[in-house]
Formats: sequence, structure tokens, C-alpha cells
Amino acid sequence: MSSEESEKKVEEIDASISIQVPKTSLKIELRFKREKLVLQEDVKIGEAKVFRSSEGWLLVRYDDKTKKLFYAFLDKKGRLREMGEL
Amino acid sequence: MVTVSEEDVEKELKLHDQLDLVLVLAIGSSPAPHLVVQKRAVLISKLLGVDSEAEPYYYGPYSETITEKLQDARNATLFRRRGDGKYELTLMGMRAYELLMKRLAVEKGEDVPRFIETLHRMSEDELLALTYHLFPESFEESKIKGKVRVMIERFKGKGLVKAKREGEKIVLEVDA
Repeated sequence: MSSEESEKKVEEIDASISIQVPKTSLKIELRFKREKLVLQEDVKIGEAKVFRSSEGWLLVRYDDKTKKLFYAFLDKKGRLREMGEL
Repeated sequence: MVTVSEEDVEKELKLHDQLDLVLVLAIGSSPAPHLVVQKRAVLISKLLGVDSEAEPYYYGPYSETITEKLQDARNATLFRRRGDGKYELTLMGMRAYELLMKRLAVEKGEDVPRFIETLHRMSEDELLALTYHLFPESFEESKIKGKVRVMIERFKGKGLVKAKREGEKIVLEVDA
């Protein structure tokens, strides 16, 4: 097929496809009630982040496979206090 | 008395890659068993954006590269395996640990080295539960998934952290 013929064929196609661009990060908002502090953060896929609060540490990780945000709260003595996901 | 200058430590650090340095941070100031070093290293490397090459295995995320590095003679200047199987830092390793913690405070903020210190206070069981929870693919190959799931469930719904969706974002309310 010559290039001229090929161009003609492309022009005849009357259809479209939409490609969903995969998310590379997730927006999270952290509301630390005791400190009356609000933080806006982007968590990249697979990345783990840590934030300090008055009593310990909040760890978050956005898991690509499950499309969930996993979080855990550790007190300052290194004891787990809470774990969850959304 | 043997001393190690900061200049010596700087020179030594240049001989190692980022994952070697993550291992120094993971071992820290008191000897730790292999499983603990592995789990700390996986968490620290995720926080610092270093690829630990960890994959799901029988006891949670495991990196063959980390195991090789722990045994690599080139790293003997920084850490060693004791007779009881635990890993400890050498004198050079300890000075490197102190310097790396200072560097992290400058480059990433005070919170990162302080969190690493907290990680060192965690019990082995809770460290295991934390890594499984943050890396849920760890359950795929696990031989201890039942035990770990029970541990994780114990820490759910305590009310310290509440998560909800608000449009495109996730809101975490922390009451602690």
C-alpha cells in the first residue's frame, strides 16, 4: 500500500478512542485536630510519607495494586496505635 | 583509643551506594536481627525514595539485594554479623549513622531522622504488622498471613485516625 492510499484510509475512519491517563499521585488532606493544623499533600503511587503529630507519627502509603491509601499511627515510643485503609 | 574523624566518614560514605547507607540507618545504634533489619530497611528506603528491590516472600517484604549487602565484605567497614546472628554497626558505621541522621535532618527535615529513631523502638511483631499493612502484596507469598492479619485487625477502628473521601482527595483526621 502506497503512503497516499494509507492516508486516505485514515481519513475514512470515523471513530475515536479515549485513553484514561493513569493517576500518578493522590491528594490527601491531613487534619491534625489537637494542633489545629491542616496539611495538603500529594502522595505518589508506591511512595510512603511520614507526618508528625503531637503524640506520634502518621505513616501513609498509596498502593497502586489495590488503589487504596494505607495508613498507620505510631506513638513516640514506637508502639502501633492504629492502622487502616481507604 | 581509636577515633574516626568526620573526614574519614565522608570518604567512607563515598565508597558505598544508597542502599548500603539505608542499611546503616536500619541497623542503627543497637544490634538487630536479620528480619528486623530487612523490614526497617524496606520502610526507610520507601521514605527516602531508594529502591530496596523488596518482593513479597514468606515473612513479608524481602530483598535478596539487602541480604547480599549485609553479607558483602565491602560493607564490613560499616557493619558486621555477630555470633548470635544480629547485625551491628562498626565504629565507622556508628559515626556514619550519626552523620547520615544529621544530613537527613538538613535535607529532608527533622522529622525523618526522628521517625527513624522511633522505628528502632518498635517491637519485631509490630514492625512486621506495619510492613505487611503498608505493603499489602506481602500477603501473596506469606507463610504467616493468618497471624499477621489478626495483629493488624487489633489496630483497626481505634478512633485516632479517621479517613474519608471528599471528592478527589482523601481526608485523614488525626486525633492524637
